[in-house]
Amino acid sequence: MPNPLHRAGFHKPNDIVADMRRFYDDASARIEYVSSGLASQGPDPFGMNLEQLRKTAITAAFFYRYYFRCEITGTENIPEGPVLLVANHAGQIPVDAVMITLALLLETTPPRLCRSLVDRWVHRLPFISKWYARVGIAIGTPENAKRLLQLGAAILTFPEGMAGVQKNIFEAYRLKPFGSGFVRLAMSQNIPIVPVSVVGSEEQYPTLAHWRHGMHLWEMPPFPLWAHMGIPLLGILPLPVKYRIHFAEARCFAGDPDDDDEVMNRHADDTKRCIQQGIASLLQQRKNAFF
Amino acid sequence: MSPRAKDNAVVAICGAAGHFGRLLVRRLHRSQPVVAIDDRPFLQRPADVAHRQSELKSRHTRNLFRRGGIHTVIYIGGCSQFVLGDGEQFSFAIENFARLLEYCDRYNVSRLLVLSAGDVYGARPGNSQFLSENAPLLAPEFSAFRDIDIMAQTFLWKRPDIQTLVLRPAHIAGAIRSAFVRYLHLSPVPMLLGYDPMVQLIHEEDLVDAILLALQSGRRGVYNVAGAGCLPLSQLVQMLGKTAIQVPHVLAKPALRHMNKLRMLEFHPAYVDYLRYVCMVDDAGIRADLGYRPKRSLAESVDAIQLWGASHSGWGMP
Repeated sequence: MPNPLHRAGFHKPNDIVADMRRFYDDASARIEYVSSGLASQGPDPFGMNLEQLRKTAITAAFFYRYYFRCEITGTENIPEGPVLLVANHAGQIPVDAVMITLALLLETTPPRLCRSLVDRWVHRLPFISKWYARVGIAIGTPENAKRLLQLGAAILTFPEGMAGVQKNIFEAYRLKPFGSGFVRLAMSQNIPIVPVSVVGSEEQYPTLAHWRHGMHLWEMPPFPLWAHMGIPLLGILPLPVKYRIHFAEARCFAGDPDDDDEVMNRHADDTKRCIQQGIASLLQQRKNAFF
Repeated sequence: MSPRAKDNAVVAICGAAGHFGRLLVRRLHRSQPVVAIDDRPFLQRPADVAHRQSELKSRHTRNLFRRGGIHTVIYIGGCSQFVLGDGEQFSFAIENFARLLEYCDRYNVSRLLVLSAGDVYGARPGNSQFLSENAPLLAPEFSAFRDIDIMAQTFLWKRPDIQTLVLRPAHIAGAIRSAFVRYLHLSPVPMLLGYDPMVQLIHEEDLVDAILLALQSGRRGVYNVAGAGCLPLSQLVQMLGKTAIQVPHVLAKPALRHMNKLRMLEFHPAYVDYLRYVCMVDDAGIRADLGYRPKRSLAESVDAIQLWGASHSGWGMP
């Protein structure tokens, strides 16, 4: 059986060092390009700090390339200008959101920054809420989404909501019902939706169960109990799964954003089906969660 | 009506003896007759401004309105929001304001402007980054501002013939005694560990401009007003040259409650939420409808807060 490094195209130790150096230069240039564009727009109203964004993106980029070995397809389907990215979600630690954001930053030309929308309970958490704001993540309210779209941003949203992050490993890649808010938003702003299928995220923290008792005292949702959490120190790291992300063809929904829920749910289901098909196709391509 | 056009339409300013009231009086008194209504003494009062040193609910104030001639009423009585909640100050503010609405209703007042506060929306984890005028008013119940704002809105619909305006400004930057300015002049400034919400400021002169603009516009309604830009609270503290002390949020409320009892600090414990969650206003409405644009930069607003000065610093009662 060939060495995994050989399989990844690295035959000598120097190859890895040279590749890392090349990757660092490329990632830095791309992040610099995005940062200078954002700096010209003036201070960010959501509190994003470009220096913090730069440091975080560079650190995460190494995980993207060498830890999760992300494989991205369909970036040509992401249109220019404001766009709504709709993806499947797993885990309360949103590694999948970071990987999608980095895919836009590192794989598209010109590089783009994607702003994620998170649930409101996140704002209650000390440090995390502050850090999220500094790296450009906003609370997922329709007003925030509209404002970001008006700034020309690409927005990432997970319509499964809390039900999506509370799945366990036995329900992996079975999508929960989608909310229809994203369809109304896209219609009202007349912007395209890009369905994004992510594979790998369900196995990064193989959740066996959720701890529900007393979490309301901390104003938090149920806490996931993952398989390797007992390993000292390493237990908090996600498993080195291989991420596969596919951006499907963009779709525009025409119609009245105030239409009945039935109409909106039809569009939401249509998007969900597209994501589910993308997931099925990505799952067929892989041998196991790690390669 | 232009403030330059001298006429006999009297402007009554309720709460005129405070810093912001004096600022407004100085801008108005050269162009039209001004009556200042405030139970506090009015220091450095311009000679042509009459001062009625009485409460709004007193018969002296009623007589003033009864005699007629008051065309415009500006209510700024509550710049120092978040009165402490033993109930007495709260009911006092509400009773006075209810009486003022009664005077406006009965004695031919044509225009009423109520200066509310952006804080009426409440600082909550689910808040949008910028709250429009349609957002629910969820400030904690001890804030008399919220009730005054709701009463003013009711009056707006009750008397469509009176030009009623409610302005909800962001934190006013100037030498005023608002809760936020007093907070920023604590030394060191307590902040919540792990939280750093974005805050908005409006320079006091910009707010005076907005008030005059709103009165001249002839429009009725509720408008948010904000200054130029916004910034993280930590950056504001840094720009003021202050040192921040980080307090865990689970300790902040009980600590504040005890400090209140000991009369060490005059802040309601619920004010802690404003240091934890964002509560900023969206002023797109006033910009679109009235053409309002702030003239002072964010740096100038920060400088205006510094004016309040070292004399008020410290952990004692401001």
